[in-house]
Amino acid sequence: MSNKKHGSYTKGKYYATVAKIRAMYGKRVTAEDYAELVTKQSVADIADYLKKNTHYSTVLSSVDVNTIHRGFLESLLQRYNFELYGRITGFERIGRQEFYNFKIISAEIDIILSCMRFINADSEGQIESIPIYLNGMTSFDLIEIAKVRSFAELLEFLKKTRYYELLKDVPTNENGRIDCGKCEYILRSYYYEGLVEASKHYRKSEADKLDLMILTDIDLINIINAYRLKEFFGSDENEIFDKTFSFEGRMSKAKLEELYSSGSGEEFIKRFSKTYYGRVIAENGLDSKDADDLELSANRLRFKYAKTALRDSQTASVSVYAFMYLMGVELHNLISIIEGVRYGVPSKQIESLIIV
Amino acid sequence: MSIEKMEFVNIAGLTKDLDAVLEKLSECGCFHIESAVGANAKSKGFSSLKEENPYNSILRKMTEISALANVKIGSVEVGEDFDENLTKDGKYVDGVLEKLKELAKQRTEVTDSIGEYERALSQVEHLKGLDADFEKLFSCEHIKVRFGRLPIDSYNKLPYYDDKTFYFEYFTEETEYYWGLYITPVSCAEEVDDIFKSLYFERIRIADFVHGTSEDAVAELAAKIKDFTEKKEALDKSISEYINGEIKHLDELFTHYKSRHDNFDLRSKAAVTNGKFAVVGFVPKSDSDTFLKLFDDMDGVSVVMQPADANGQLAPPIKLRNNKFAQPFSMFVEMYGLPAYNGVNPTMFVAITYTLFFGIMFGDVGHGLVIALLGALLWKFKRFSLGPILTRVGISGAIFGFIYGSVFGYEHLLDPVYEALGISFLPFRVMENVTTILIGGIVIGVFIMFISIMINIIVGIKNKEYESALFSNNGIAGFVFFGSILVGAVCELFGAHIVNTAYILILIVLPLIAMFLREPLSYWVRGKKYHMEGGVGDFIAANFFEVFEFLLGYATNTLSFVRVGGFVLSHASMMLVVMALAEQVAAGAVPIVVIIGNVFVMGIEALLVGIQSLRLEFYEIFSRFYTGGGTPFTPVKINYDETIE
Repeated sequence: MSNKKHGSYTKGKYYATVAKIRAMYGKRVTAEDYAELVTKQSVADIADYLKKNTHYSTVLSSVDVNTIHRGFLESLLQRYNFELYGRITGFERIGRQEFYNFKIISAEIDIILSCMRFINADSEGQIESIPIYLNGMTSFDLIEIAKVRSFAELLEFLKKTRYYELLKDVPTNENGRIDCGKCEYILRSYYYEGLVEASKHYRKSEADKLDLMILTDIDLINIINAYRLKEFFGSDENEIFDKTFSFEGRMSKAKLEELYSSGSGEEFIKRFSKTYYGRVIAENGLDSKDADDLELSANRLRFKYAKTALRDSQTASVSVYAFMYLMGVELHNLISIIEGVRYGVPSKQIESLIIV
Repeated sequence: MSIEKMEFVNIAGLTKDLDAVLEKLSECGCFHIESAVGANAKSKGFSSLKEENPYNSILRKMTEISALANVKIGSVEVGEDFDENLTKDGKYVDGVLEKLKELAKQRTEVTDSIGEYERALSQVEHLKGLDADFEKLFSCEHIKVRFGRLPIDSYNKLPYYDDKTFYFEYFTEETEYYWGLYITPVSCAEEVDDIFKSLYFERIRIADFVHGTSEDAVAELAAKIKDFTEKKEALDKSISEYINGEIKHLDELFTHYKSRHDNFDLRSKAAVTNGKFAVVGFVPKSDSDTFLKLFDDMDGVSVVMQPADANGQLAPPIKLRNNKFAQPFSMFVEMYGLPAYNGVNPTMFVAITYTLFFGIMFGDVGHGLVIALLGALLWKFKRFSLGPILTRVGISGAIFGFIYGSVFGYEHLLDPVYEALGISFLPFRVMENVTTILIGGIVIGVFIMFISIMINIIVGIKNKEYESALFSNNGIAGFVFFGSILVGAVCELFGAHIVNTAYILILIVLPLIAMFLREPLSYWVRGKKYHMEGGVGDFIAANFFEVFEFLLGYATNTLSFVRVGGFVLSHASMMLVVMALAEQVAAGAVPIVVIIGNVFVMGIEALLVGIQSLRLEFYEIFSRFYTGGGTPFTPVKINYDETIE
């Protein structure tokens, strides 16, 4: 990403985009819709409800809800989510600005990581999960990446992309397996660096708001990752720091050290509750009913921050970022419901996963 | 303007005559039946009849006939040519039903075929462009052909499978799909089927009856659909012709069976014992002579007439007696609840006050006449019960419109009329007399409130309800108190100083004390001893707040009538806006603005004024003297309205 100074993109205010986003957000899936959806008995019922009662009606208009496959329904919803992004960025042609590449870069990283996992699993089914509608927008061919069968092939394939330099030194083990965790850390770091860098192109007040939102996101993602490492892998402070995205948000290094040095997941949660984010979560009643579910609480906080940012924002960049995050959560909620219903998860349990 | 007086009727006889008696009762149209077992007969050893209605089955069959033939079976005058044999064993109805079932079965088969061919046609239409014979394709030994639709996203993934042996061709495109076929060697079919399954390919099975190329098949299927549609039309015609030939008999039979069915249902109201029956109910006093004559030819049946309150367990039903003008307004009274048997019929009072309120608030000659016409049409063509009310209030609106000089918002259109008639005091321009209009509303309201209180006093004295008639806020005490305050205030306003200590003590304080002590005073009037429940403290607290509420009520109820004046002004103001808008537009558009404006104002004002008038009736007037709780007088009759659809 380039090193432009603050204010490179200050020509237009893009109020129309801000207004359009608010109008689009007004059509979101509501708590009442979710409550209705979790009671459905089949994927067909869910598709029928989405088709008749939500903004997904357009993308589902021609499908036969009675015969629709779960995977196809999910892929349609995912594509629609991307179409929303296209509609917003195309509205006042702001998509040409570097910042708005975040959605494509994020999708490319997901595809590369998915490819690595298929390589590690010696599996060839990646093509089924490839979001083919992105072909042409991505910096590599999506059909061809699905044909890659080894890390060496992957590196060769990515040679002409920005990802080659990032991944070329990642070692493989004697079986040719790749350390997916390390690659993910490298790629996501690159993504966040790019976001923070691109935000600098905006005038200072706008850039500050964007930074705050991005860094808060990174803070909470770091905390979620650290908790997982502590709770499920018993990682120590240094191991966690190695996998922490190094951006300073509201959590200082000293605070993070204190948190990461917790002796157990339980202690981690206790210490977290005394941090800034822990207090905000408690004050806003965002704690999960399951006291241990720090991840759900943190994600609820991210959701709340995004809603607030969208409500208060007067700039396109903040609005687009917040809106796409909120729509991402909506998509995640719907997929949780679809899979929950498909695999017979009790509705109460599905409901507890919904962020609204 | 009263409540119809009733007679309590006790009919007794031998059980063999029960059906004949019930038939007479349902034919006479003036007998309100009650359960004889509930009316003390039980104590005399009587019990009710618990039988299944034997006519249920035949009427259900007739309902089925009606549904199958999509025809309405209703009641008719059963003529002398009615063939009684048709009622024997129900064989006629069974025969008609069987015949219709057979025809309906054929129609269902044809309809199903049409659906099947239409589905096949819609599928094959998606494959237009396939220039190959379906039969030949399906008969290939070494290749498999699958028809269906593939999501466009999945189609874009097909290059990934370049090394697999299959060929996909699409013929038409939908929003999300390509319709087409894939061909693969038999040896690869399993693998390729799996690939297409993972790509969400939705396979369709081409029916065996599809032949030739897609173009041929489309033509053939369309022809088949046409054939079957003609067959269906022919069957519909047969059913229609058949039922038209039988409908006279069916209507007669329905009338015959329905009357027996409903009469049989009445048996459950009778009480029986040892071969005897008892039926009780009420008959309007005015019909009692005619009613008695009905049983002259029945020797074993005795009919005893008694006063309406003869049976302590049965409250006499209420039949309101109204003249033609007030009759439609009984709907409002019934909506609120019928009066008690010894109460008052307020319909005439409602008719007058409602018409007056509506007319004052809706004063416009044009609007009033349109509403009146609309009401007349709604009654004539739809029997809409609000229609006659609209007619009356519309005319009232037109009369007040003449007083205000307003015709569809034109305030000077009637000026030549007044001049020609030599009326100098009209028109009474609404917008030039705002204060008069608002005060006028209150004056009318106060006048009506006094009448309401007087009605309550009269009814209370008649029914010996002294607390309500003498000492309540709607009794003499309230009348004196409220009247004295108003008279005193008005006199003081106009310089006549009549309010002095004696005036205050006798006409204001004394009635207040009477209202406060209304309960013990009413006991005293009746010569009974009053027992204070809950102690003196409770008595004082409860009555203090109640009297305080009475005082508030006088103020709020009086002010409530300001709305009458308010709506007069709102109607006139809205029309002023319409006229102002009409002046702003081009000459050609003036009629459109005036018409739309008038329609809008008429609609919204009629609704508002109608509701507000009703509110005044229920809250400010009825609450002063009216207690509902009466049972409507519903004479037994055969309910032919329940036509079989």
